[in-house]
Amino acid sequence: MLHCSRLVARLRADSYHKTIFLVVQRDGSFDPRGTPLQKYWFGTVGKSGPNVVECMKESPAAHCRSPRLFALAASCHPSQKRDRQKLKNVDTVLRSGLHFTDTGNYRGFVLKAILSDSQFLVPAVVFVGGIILLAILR
Amino acid sequence: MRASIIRAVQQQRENLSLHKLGVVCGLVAGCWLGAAEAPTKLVTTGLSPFAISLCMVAGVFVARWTFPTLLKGTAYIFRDLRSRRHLIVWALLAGGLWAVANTLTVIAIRDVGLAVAFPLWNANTLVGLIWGRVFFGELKGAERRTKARVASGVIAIVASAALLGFSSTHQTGVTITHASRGVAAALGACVLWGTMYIPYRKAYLSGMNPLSFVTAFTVGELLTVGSVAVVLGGGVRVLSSELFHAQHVLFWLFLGGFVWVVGDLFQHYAAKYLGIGRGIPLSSTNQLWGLAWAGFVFGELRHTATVQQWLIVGGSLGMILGAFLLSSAVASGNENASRDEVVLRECTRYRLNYAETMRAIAGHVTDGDAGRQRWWDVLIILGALSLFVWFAHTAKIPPLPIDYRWCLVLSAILLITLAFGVLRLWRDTDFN
Repeated sequence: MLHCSRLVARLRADSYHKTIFLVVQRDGSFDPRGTPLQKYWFGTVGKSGPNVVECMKESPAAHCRSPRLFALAASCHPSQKRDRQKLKNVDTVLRSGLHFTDTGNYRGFVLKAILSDSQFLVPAVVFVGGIILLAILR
Repeated sequence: MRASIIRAVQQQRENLSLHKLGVVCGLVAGCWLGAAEAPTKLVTTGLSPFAISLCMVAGVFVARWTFPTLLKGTAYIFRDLRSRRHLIVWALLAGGLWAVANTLTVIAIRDVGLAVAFPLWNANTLVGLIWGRVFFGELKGAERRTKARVASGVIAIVASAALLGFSSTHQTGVTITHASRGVAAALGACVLWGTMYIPYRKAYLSGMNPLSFVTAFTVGELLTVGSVAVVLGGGVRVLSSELFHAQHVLFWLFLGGFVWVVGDLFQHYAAKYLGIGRGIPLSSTNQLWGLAWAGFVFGELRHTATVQQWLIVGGSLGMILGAFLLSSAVASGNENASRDEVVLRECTRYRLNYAETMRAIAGHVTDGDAGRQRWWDVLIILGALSLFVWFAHTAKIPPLPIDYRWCLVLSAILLITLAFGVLRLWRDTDFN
C-alpha cells in the first residue's frame, strides 16, 4: 500500500510547469486526458502555476480519500510529447502493483461522518421539535 | 495565458447557462406547484385532513417513482444513491421534515385560518435563505448589487404571496379559536420547511441527481405521513374506513399529488442550479398560478370586493418583480468560488471525488447506463399507470361551477412550460 503523500513525493520528480488532474481508478488505471484543475482553487494553470506538491498541500484529503476513485494531481500535460512520456511513466508506476490507501469500512465511516457533521444536528433537532410540537398542538 | 483566458470565458458562459436553466426550472416549478391545488378543489367530501394528506402523498410516492424510472431507470438511480450513501439519510430526514410541516399547516388553518397562517409559514423561503448563507456560503463573495437583488426579490415574493393569500381568503369568516396554537403551528411549519432545504442543498453540492434524491425523500415523506395519519387520524381502522368510503375522490388527490411532483422535481433542479436562496423563492411564484386556477377555472374571485382586487393586482405585480430580480441576480466568479470551497468541504467529509462532484454539479455526468430501462422499470411504470386508471375509473366530478375554457387554457400553459423545461433540462444536462 502506498499512501497518497508518498506517491505525490514520487511524482515530484516528474514535476513540470503545467498541471493536470488525473482521476485514478482503484485498479490503477486512469483517463490520460485528465481534467484541468479548477483555477480558483489551485491557482492559474500555466507556467507560473503551482506544481503538484503545492496542489496536494492545498487539498490532500479530497483527492486521497475517495472510496471509489482516487484522484491525484500530476504535473504533466498530454498535449506535449515530453509530457506524454511522463504520463506513461506515471502509468507505469501505477500499474506496477502500487495501490493507494483505501478507506476501509465505508459503511461505518458514513454513519460516523453523518453524526460528526454539525449541519446534521440542525434538521435533526428541528424534526424532533416538530414532532413534539405536533403532539402538543393536536 | 491565452488558454487561461479562453477557459475563464468558457466557465463564465457555462455558469450563465446553468443560471438560466435554474431560472427556467424555478418558474416551471411555480407553474406546476400552483396547478397542484386544482384537483384537490374537487374533493368536497368530509375527509379528515390527515386522510387527504396521506392520499396526496401516496400519489406523490407513485409519481416520484415513475418519473425517475422513466427518465433514467432504477439501476442508475440506485447506483447514484449507493455512491453517496450518506445522502439517503439526509433525504429521509428531509421527507420527514416536509411531512411534519404539512400536518402542522392543517392545524394552523384549523386554529387561525389560512389568511393568518399562510404568510407565517410562507416565510420559509427566508429561513432557507438564512440557512443557505450560514451553511453553504450562498451569496458569499457576491457583489453588493447581486445581494440586494436576491434579498429584495425574496422579500417581494414572500410579501406578494401573503397579499395573494389575503385576497383569496378575505371573506371566509374563519373564527379564530386558538390563536396562539395556530400561530405556533404555522411558525413551526415555516421553520421545518425552511430547514428542509438544508438537505436539498447538501445533496446537490455533493453532485447527487435530483431524481435520485426525491426517490429517497419520498420514502421518508410517506413513512412520516403514514405514521402521523395513523396516530393522529384515529388509528388504522378509522383511516381505512374513511378511504374506503371516499374512493370516488381518490383520483383527484392522486392527480394533485402527481401534478405537485412535477413542480417539485423542477424545484429541486432550481435548487441545484441556483441554490436555495434563489431557486426556492422563484418556485414560490406558485401562489400566482394557484390564484389563476381558483379565479378563472373555479370562479372563486367572481364577487371580489375592490380591496381584494387591489390586493390581487399588487400581489401579482410584486411577485413578477421579485421573480425578475432573482432571475437577474447571476452568481459572480467569487460567489462560485465560495460554493466550490463548500463542495470541497463536503467531498473531504464524505470522501467524495472532487472532480467528479464538480462535473455532476455542472450537469456533466455521463453514465452509459442512464436512461436504459430494465424489465422491472417497465413493471413500475405500468403499475403506476394502472393505479391511475383504476382511480380514474371510480372518480366522479362533483357539481362545481368549472369554466372548461379556462381549464383548457391553463392546462395548455402547463404543458407548454413542461415541454420547455424538459427540453432545456434534457439538452443542457440530460436530467443530471
